[in-house]
Amino acid sequence: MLSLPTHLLQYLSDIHLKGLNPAWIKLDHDGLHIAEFYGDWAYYCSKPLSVGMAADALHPVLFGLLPMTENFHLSQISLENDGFFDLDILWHKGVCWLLFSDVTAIMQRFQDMQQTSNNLHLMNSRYKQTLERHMGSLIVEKVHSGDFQLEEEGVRQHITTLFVDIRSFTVFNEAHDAQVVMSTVNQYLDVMLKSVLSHAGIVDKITGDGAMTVFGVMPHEQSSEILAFEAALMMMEHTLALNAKRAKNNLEQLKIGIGIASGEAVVGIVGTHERRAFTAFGRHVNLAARLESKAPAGFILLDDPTKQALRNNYDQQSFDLTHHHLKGIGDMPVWQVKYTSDLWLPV
Amino acid sequence: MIQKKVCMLGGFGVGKTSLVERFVYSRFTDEYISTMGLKIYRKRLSNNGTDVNMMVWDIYGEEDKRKVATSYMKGASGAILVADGTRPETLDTTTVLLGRLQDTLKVEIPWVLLINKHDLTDQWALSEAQLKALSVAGRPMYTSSAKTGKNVETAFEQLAQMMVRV
Repeated sequence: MLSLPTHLLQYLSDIHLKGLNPAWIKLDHDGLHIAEFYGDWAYYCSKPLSVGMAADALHPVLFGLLPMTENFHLSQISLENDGFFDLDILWHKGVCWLLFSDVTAIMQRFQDMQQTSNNLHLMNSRYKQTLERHMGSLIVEKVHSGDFQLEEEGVRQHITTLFVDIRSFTVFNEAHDAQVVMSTVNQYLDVMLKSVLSHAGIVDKITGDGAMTVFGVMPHEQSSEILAFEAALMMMEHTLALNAKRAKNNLEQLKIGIGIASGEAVVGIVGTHERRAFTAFGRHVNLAARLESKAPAGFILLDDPTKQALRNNYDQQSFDLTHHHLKGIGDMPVWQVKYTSDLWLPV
Repeated sequence: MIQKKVCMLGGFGVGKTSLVERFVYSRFTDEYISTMGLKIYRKRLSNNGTDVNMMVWDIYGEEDKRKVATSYMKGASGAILVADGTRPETLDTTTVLLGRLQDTLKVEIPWVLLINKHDLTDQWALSEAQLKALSVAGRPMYTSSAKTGKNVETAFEQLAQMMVRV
């Protein structure tokens, strides 16, 4: 540095120092008032400077800082002219100096990076929140920690699938304004999906006025059949409560029907690189959908494997055996539970 | 007239600038522009006959890789700590910043905690029980919305009152 030729030193000074447009002040011995001032102060301060003037009147950033008894740096302070400056307070041989440097050009370059970085963070946070809403915070935590992975090639496992749907929705849809329909569906979906998420279920897809949900994908101490059935009972109970609230406000009440079936399925990720979704494939998945389509309002329909898995946990008197012809499947035994507020199920 | 420096402290994107803009200019915009460095706003308040000139330091939000420097906190008489009610993790950031503020100033100064974005009801992630737990021991805490103005004036006025009392 010492051997740097003067013309190179001058060159570096021109490109770096002049760009900073430095302006500086030597303060009085009290460290409060201006003794001398130099540089382009008109750029930093709308007030004209004068010797003897209180230095903290230059810019509000100086309020409360003076007198300063140590070196001090504050960066990226906004100016009224949309510029930015850095402030340095320096001590030299018992005298305090204030140095203002223009960093607007640096800040403009930095701003784009900062904005992009923050936007990405916020987007990631929103993505996580959306994921939590569809899969529950438990699964999102496990996905983030690497304890649970959704394999692209799919994993074969025993699961229980629950389909739920609002009954007579078409009639309601045709009789009301679209916004009323949207808000009403959201009220009922809220009840349905919260019940799923609180029983370690995953919302596979929302089908307008209903949903396909799966249980048993997430490790849990309870069986997938019990989790799904408990979620179904909670949906029914909360739907009754929602309807009671709507009745008080003279709003139409809707009812739901539920179909549940269990069996082996392949669960994993489907879709393209840009748009992927979790889903489950298996014969019982279609069966659950068919059962839901046959379920009258307020009824839970179950296939025989699901019912058998519940036999030690619930009063068997509450399950009625019926027979149905299911499209694409044929005749088969179906168990049904009619939900009422006084339904007593524990053994 | 007394002058008081107030620091706005919180994570990035929690709405610090929006709260100050609402308080000082009664305006709000949905557009998110990340705050660079520091911008100082002034607002005069009257508290029981005492005029308080608040110099509100709107400081860039704390990030993992870009901490708020303690030099911004020097000389502060009060602080508004801001968290985002749709991102509960931002509450932890306010705790860290409060600790740094108190370590820097070596004295306790008045502060108010705002859990902002209360207008975003469908994204709100804090339960009533969690909010109740936050407000224990008489800690000054409000849910706020820079969009609707909810509790914005109240929080600044309470802080002014606390600073005058000190």
